[in-house]
Amino acid sequence: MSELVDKLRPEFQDEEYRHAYADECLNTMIATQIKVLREQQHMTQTALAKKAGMKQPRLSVLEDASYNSWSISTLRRLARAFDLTLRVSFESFTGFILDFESLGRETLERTPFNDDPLFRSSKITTSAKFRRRGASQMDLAMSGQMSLFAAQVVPFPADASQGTPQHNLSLPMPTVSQGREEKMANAAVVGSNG
Amino acid sequence: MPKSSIYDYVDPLKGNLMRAWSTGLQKKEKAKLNSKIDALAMHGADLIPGILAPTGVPAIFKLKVHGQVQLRPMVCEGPGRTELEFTFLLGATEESWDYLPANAPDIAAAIRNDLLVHPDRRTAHERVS
Repeated sequence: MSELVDKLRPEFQDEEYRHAYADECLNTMIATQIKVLREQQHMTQTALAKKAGMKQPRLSVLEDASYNSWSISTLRRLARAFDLTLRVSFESFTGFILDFESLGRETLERTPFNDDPLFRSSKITTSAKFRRRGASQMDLAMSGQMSLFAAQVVPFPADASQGTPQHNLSLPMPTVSQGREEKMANAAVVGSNG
Repeated sequence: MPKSSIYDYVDPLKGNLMRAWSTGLQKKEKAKLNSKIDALAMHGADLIPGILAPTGVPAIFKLKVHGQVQLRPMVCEGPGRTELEFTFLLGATEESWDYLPANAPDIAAAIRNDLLVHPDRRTAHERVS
């Protein structure tokens, strides 16, 4: 059970409260991911700012959890600088709060394009077996059953049956967000039981 | 599972200063403040950039909550187990670089010193919503 959801359940009955709380969480999560990604790619604020076409003081402001004037265009520029893509999605409060609760370096780090195994080998994209595996995992992510922060592309050991290298879209083991679906179900049960 | 424990200073005469201050905030401000306090408790100041900012007074930080009113409650690490605990010392706001109360960081430093002498003058953080 999520301690945070337990705490928030009565508070979130108020619409103004829950939206203000979630907005502040969003500010915290965006700023934190920018910092985590920058450090993952071993960049200084100055280096990232240069790649994103802005000054370092501006980036310093964006990397502050109290900043609240985000624009899609600025986030796109940062995504380009990280060689990642930007995804914006609407979320249920439960899913959003569980992601907030599981915030951490491991859930925020992403693989830039040049290190992305899916695009590093032509064999991978021609593998029907891989596409089936990948599609099922991506379906989970898109349907909200898997944390958007949790999706990682990791190398998969050589397939013994075919003797050819294979890759697989895989969830991390149950450290942080594997239990998200279970948590959401538990939260729903407790909520319905009052 | 929270990473850090959060406490409030309890003044022997005036009671829980943080709680008294929080009670007077607007609903939206309470929500934003609680969001930041939850982030601090769950993830700590090392992960969340800029959640705590120095005040210029040693060992005293301000929790930053942006809004029409800039909430800047004064907080210290520990003061005992500095890596595992934060203690809110008093509530404050900031406008145009001026604190309300005006000398909030200095007051907070005095409170922290009192807490070092009387470690029992604090309680688990009392959430106001």
